[in-house]
Amino acid sequence: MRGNLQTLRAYSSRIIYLLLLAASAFFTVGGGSPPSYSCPDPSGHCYGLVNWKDPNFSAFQTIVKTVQLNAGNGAMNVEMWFVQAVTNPDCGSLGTGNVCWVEVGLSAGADSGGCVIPTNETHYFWADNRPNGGFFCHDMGPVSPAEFGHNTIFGVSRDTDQPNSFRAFALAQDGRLLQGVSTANTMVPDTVQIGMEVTGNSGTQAGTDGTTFTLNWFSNNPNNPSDGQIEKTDGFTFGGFPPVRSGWTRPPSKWGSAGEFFVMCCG
Amino acid sequence: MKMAQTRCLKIVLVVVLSVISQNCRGSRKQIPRPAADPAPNQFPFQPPRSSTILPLGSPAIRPTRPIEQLTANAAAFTIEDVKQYVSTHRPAMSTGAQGYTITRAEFLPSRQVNMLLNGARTGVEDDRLLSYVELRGTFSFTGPRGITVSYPRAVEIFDAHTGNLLVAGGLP
Repeated sequence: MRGNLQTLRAYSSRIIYLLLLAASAFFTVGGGSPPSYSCPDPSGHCYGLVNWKDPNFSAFQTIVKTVQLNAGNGAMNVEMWFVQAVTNPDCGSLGTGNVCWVEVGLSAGADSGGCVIPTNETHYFWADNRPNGGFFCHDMGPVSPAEFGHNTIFGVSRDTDQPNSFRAFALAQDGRLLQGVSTANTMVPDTVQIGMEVTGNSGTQAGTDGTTFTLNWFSNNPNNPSDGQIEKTDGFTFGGFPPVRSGWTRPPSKWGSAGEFFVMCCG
Repeated sequence: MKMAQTRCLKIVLVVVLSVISQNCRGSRKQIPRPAADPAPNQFPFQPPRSSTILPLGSPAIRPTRPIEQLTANAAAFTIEDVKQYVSTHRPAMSTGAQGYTITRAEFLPSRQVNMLLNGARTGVEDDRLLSYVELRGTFSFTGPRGITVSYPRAVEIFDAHTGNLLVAGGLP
């Protein structure tokens, strides 16, 4: 009897331990407190994106489902980058990248990768880092409530009206056009990226279930950026692991113009 | 007794598994579907040179003068308000901005600000009154994945009527 009691006591402590373990799992996985995360990139940013290369890129457009972003304690961008990735010492010689780019998309929050936007507001923005020209972020203002849930066309193309310039634009579903021109920009784009960038470590959210990029279109005709075609290759995807989840739901290599890339974060 | 122990263990196991499975279900989300209105007849889109909406920026400096009393050449706040705001808010997008100093702060029309931006443009009408602020320090900005650039000067440009921050960045 005494032996049985001892055994029961021993099992009671195991049971308590297991219950504590279960409670800890509950709160860690997300039942009680907001999820927290950390980003493995050296810059402290998380990315989920797809990357294409072409030495003659002159334009790129994509259609994004416009969703409300919440930047939590960091920042969040859903966007496209038009990049000269071949190292150019004129593109920020004090930095680590020596890369030039023009970017356009949706942004919320304030950190090192976007404009200073209120955490719970979603704005259209564009930015550029030009050879010998510096970096500038242009806050084009808030997305109107009626635009959420609808698609926006984002694009960057060489501006044929003036040399060394690129036009970045966002065309909302209701016809609202926001655009800017990256002037005195001698970069030679060779890379395009689309996807999501996140900073911070808590509270970030993109819509209720993320968003999508479809109908990715490009031109590699330097003399005529209107002369293009739908991107039918899958490019190189990066990320796809927490907190930013991303990937092809419909790879363009199989679905053509119906190709669809998704990004979501972080709940 | 043995049976009681086994029973206890089974109960605990069921509780643990159910808690974990519930949380996994809660965190798993459906892959989003696109909206049904991609406006394909406008795609690819050729942006016209006109009919652009001018940038609005984000709220920053609080105006201290009523907007109805302002002329086109008057600001809704003072340069001291600008300096106060910039010195109490970390410069836009700078990761390593420690110990920065304000080296220039003045009201200028957009056309004059354009001349200070190494060929870039503010994106607003030439006559619009802006507040131009320049800082000295080390200012780092991130771009595409893995890319950071740093500049010794930072710039912040505010709308002189609304106080909104329109443009921010770094200069060589």
